[in-house]
Order: sequence, then structure tokens, then C-alpha cells
Amino acid sequence: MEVIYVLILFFAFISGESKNLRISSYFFIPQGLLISISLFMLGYSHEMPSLYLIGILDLIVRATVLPFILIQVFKNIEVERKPSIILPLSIPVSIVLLAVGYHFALELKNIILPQFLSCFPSGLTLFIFGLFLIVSKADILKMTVSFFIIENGIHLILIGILPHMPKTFEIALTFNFILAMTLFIYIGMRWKILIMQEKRYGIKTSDDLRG
Amino acid sequence: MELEKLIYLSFVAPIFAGLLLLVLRKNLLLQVGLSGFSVLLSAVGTFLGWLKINQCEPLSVIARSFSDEAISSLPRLTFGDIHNAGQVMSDLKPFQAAENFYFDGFSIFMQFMAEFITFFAIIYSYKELQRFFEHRKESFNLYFSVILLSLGFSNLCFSLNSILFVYITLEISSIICAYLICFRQSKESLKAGFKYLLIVNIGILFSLLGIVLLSYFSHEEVLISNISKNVALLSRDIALLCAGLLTIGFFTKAGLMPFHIWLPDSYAEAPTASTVFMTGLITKLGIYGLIRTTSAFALYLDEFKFFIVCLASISMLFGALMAFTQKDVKRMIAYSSISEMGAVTVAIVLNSYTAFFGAVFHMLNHTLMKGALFFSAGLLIYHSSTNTSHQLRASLISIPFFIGALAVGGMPPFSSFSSSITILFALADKGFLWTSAVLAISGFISALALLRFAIKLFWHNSHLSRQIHASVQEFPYSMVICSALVAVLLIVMGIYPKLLYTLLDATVISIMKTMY
Repeated sequence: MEVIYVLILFFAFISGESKNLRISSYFFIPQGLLISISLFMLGYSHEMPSLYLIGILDLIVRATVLPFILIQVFKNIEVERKPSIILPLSIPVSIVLLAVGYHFALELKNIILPQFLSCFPSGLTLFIFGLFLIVSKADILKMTVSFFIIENGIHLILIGILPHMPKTFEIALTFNFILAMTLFIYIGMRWKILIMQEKRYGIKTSDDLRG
Repeated sequence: MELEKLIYLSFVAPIFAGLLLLVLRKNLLLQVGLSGFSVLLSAVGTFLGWLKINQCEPLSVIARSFSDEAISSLPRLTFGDIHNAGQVMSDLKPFQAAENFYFDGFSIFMQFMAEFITFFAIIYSYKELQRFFEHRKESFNLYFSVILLSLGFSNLCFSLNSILFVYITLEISSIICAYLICFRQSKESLKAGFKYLLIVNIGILFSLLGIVLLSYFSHEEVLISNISKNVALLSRDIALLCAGLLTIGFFTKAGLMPFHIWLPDSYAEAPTASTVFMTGLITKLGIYGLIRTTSAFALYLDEFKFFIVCLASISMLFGALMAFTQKDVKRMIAYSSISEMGAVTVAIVLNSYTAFFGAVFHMLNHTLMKGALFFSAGLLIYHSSTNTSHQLRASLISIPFFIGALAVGGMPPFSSFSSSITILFALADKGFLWTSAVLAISGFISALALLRFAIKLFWHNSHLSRQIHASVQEFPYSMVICSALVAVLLIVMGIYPKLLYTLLDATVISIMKTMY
């Protein structure tokens, strides 16, 4: 299990720090897959069949539909440039944040909150990492990617704390997530069209999309 | 059909009409008509809910509003403490049609307010969209659809008992409003919409964490009807953690300092009618969340109460000072809105009848004040097609703006005078004299900023008289009537506040019932 959680963080790191927006999107697929697998394993080991439904939902939404839409959106916008925190600094800060954050969250769970499920530390780390990315990126599409990471984190935290939450609630939360991502993508696309109309030629970078 | 089932109209009608509008692409008038009709149906549902919790006939409810009985009970309650109010708490019974629903006076109050302002926003939109958004005429149906869906989910939010589902509906209602902010499709509006979506979404996730933690440590599903009992059983540290997380989320939603940064841009970029809609509904959802959750924490945690009072005071002062520095009329009103919401927030953690009374009354007044200001600002923009003060020109339409500006300052005879003074009394009663001073000063600064703008705009120009005659003929009646009616209501309720006392009294008692 531990390996799966570390891998989720690793893929989140690549999604968050990759300059190429399409690569960022591609890495949401293994991330979503691993989240789904971890839920199946948790469901099996803790004898909670209800987690299987959430696992299937994640497989459809987080590992397939939304990454695919992101890939389509980022077709012509490949490179994200000029983050608020310059790139050479951003990467080590992210690594430190993920490593220290995960270690801290793991200790928090083991010592103070042992009753939470094992996905809680990675969820908390993803959430904090996502918040850091939002602050460190100036590009609005990159912020959408960061929001995806935050949502994945929140999802794991919720499962970790309340695995027996009502299924309708979990489904409604997923619906809200899809709705929010759709609007993020809609705004990003409209902006792209606007810029294209202004420049009269295709854009290769997202410099003009800086928020 | 049973009468009880019709109560669901309050959210079913707007949601159904909103979905219907997704396919109704042609004919703007039909879209406006359908939207207005569904809001009226929604109001009927709310009124039936009001009858149900009062357990009386329609005519007796109306008669009670005009009777002296309504007002005679108030001084005893207004200046008494929370325990005295408990004497009359048994008069009103919350209505639970099913396990998941909880209609009480507060739900009804919020629904009425939402329906009222949505109706005006829809009527106002008709000409505004035609004038400014002709390039988006293919999407007018989406615009109305989003407004109705947002209203529907908000009304559903006000009717639900489970805090988890309150969160879900509140989030849906907020998320879709990003479309309204982006409706202009300019760079600025898209940027404002993105900012709104990002900040509100992330902010509200904190409140989700708070709710989930609260549910976990309560060992049962947290409901509006049992939240106070569950909060009382929490350890101090956990309670502080949950309260902090909930505060971040709902402060962001309400546009309060320091999570306000989405608000001025969003208000400035959205079409005027939808700005009024957002002022009357979206920020109030945050206040609804605060009242339903954090008020219960403030009852047991004095340090938390003090912290919220400080934050809200900063909001009041900051909003007023920022309003003073603005040149864009809509941004100026937006900043004064932050200040007003601070005044409401400061009252909801005091946990006294007086404070809650002032808070809910001020919420309603805030909706009316911002309605008057934004609607008249929208008319001026309609006339001059620009937002900056030096380019705007005057007309008789300036009167609602003046009324709104004076009401922001809490001047008599406007209804905000009653609510502001009630909050001042409540603050003084609880020993927060310095906050009373902040409230008075910030109200004064906000009013000064708006009046300075209005005077410069309406009296500074030598061609004023010619403009008046030219302008009045140009303005569409639907927009003028909306603007004038909201302003008139500010005066009527200021002179005759007793009209509202029955509803406000029921609202406050309902809030306190969930806390004791």
C-alpha cells in the first residue's frame, strides 16, 4: 500500500511540475488508476465493499474522463512558462514539501489519529502540495492542473476519515468535481479562443494565459 | 396532491425551469417569462412552508404581520438574553417532511430573500442583455438557466438537514455562477470568473474538511438539528480545528477578509443583474453556512468568538476604506458590500436574540441596498456604456443610488438604520464597544465614498438638466421599475419595519432553536 501512495505523490509531482501541460495531463491517468487501486485494496483489507463503488467511480472520472478532456484541451497549448516561483527553485521546494509533508502526515496518522485509513497521509500531502502549486503557478491552465491535484487529495482525505460516508454524498461530490473541472476547462478554452482571435494565429505557449 | 408536497416547489420549480431553459434557445421574452414564472412558483412553495411552520391559515399569517401583537413581543425579546427567548421557542415548530429535510423560519427567510432578488434580477436582465450582450444572444437561455439552477440549489440547501448535503448544494449553487461572471466573454470577465471559481472552490473545500472532521468526531451524521449538541461534546482542540476550517470555507463564500479577493472583480465584471443576484444570494450562502455551523462553535469557544469579531471588524473597516479609493462604481459598491457582510458576521457570533435579529435584518437590508445601488449603477452604465466615474452622466435615476448610499451609512428613515442600531446595541451589550465604533465608522466611510461618487456624478455636471430629460426617455421601464421598487422598499421598511417582524422573529427563534 505504501508504495502505491508514494507513487501517487510521485505522479502528482510530475503533473504539477512538468512544464509541458500535455505531460501533466497524461500523468493524471496513472494517478487516478493508483487511487482507484488503493481504494479497491482498502475495501478488500478492511472489508468495506462500499469502497469498490467509489473505486469504480474514480476509475471512470479521475483516471479516464477528466484526464482525456484535459489532454484534448491542451492539444495546442503545450508549454507553461514563467511560474511565480522560478522553475529551478520550484522543483526542489516541491520535493521537500512532498517528502516532509508525507512524513509528517504519516506520523500524524500513526501517533494521533491511528483510526484513520492509510490513504489519509497521502491525501493530506496531495492537498498541501496542490495548494503550494496554486500559489507558485501564474498560468491559469496550470492552476487547473493544481486544482485537480487538490481534489484528488481531498478525495483521499475524505475516504481516510469517513470511509462509511453516504454513497449519494460521494457521488454528488464527484459530480461537483466534474462540474468544477468543466467550468475551469470552459474558461480556459474561451480564453484560448479569445487570444487566438486577437493574434490571428495559433498559440504554442500559454504565456498569454497568465492569470 | 398533498399540500405538504407543494413545499418542494421552492426548489423543484427553479431547477426544472432551469433545465427546460437549456433547450429553449429562441425568444428572450419567453425565457424571461418562464424564469419569472418559476420564481413565483418557488415563492408559492416557500409561502406554503411558512404556513406549515406557523401551523395557520394564509390570511392569519398576513394579518399577524400587521397586528400589534407582532411588535409588542419584540422589546421583551430584543433586549433580553438568549434564555429569555426560549420562552417563546415552542410557538414555532420546524417542519421535517422527510428525514433529509428541515424547514424552519430561517430556511423560509433565506428562500424568500433569494426568490425576491432573483425575480428582480430576471426582470432587469431582459433589457440589459439586449443592450450589452447582443453578441451572446445564443446563450441567453444558458444565462437564465444558470440563475434558476443556482436559485433552485440554494433553496434546496436552505431546506436540507444534513450538513454534508448542505455543503453539496451550496457548492453546486456557487460553482455554476462562474458562468454568469464570464458571460461577457472579455479577458477581464474570464479572468474574474476563473479567480472566483478557483478561490471559492478551494476555500469551500476547507469547510468540507471541517464538516467531515466534525462528523467523524461526533460519531453520527451531523444535522442542522443536532449540530450544537455535537459541538458541545467535542474536545476543545478538535472544536477549534473544525471551527477554523469551517470559518475559512464560509468566509471565502461570503467574500470576507482575508478571503475576499474574488469579490470585487466578480461583481465588476458580471452583468449588473447577475451581480445583484450574486449579492443577494451567493454571498448570503456563506453567511447561511456561518450561522448554521460556526455560531454553534462561538457558543462554547470564547476565543473563537473574539477571533471572528476581530476578523469581521477588519472586514468592515477594510471594505469601507477600499470603497473610498475606487473609481469604478461597481467595484466601489462591491467593497462596501464586504464591509456590510462584516457587520452581519460580527453579529452572528454574539449569540443573543438582539444580535441575531440585527444580523438577519441587516442581511435583508444588504440585499436591498446593493440592489438599489447596483440597479441604478447599471442604469447609468446603460446610459453611458462605461463604468468609470468621470464618464458617467446623471439623470433622475440617480435617486435610487442616493437612497442606497444613504442606507449604507445606516441613516434614518431607511431600514438599514434599524438593523445597524440593533447590531450596535447587541455589540455594546456583549462588551464589544470598540467593534460598535468600527461598525459606525465603516458605515460612515462607505456612505461617504458612495455619496462623494454620486454628488460628483450627478451635481458636478453643468449639462445635468439636459441630460435628465434626454436620459429618462432612453431608459427601459423594466430596469427603472426594478431600481425604484428596491429603493422604495428600503424606505417603506425603514418607516414601517413591523411588516417584517413576524418573519424576522420566526427566523431568529429558529436559529436559536438549533443551538439549544
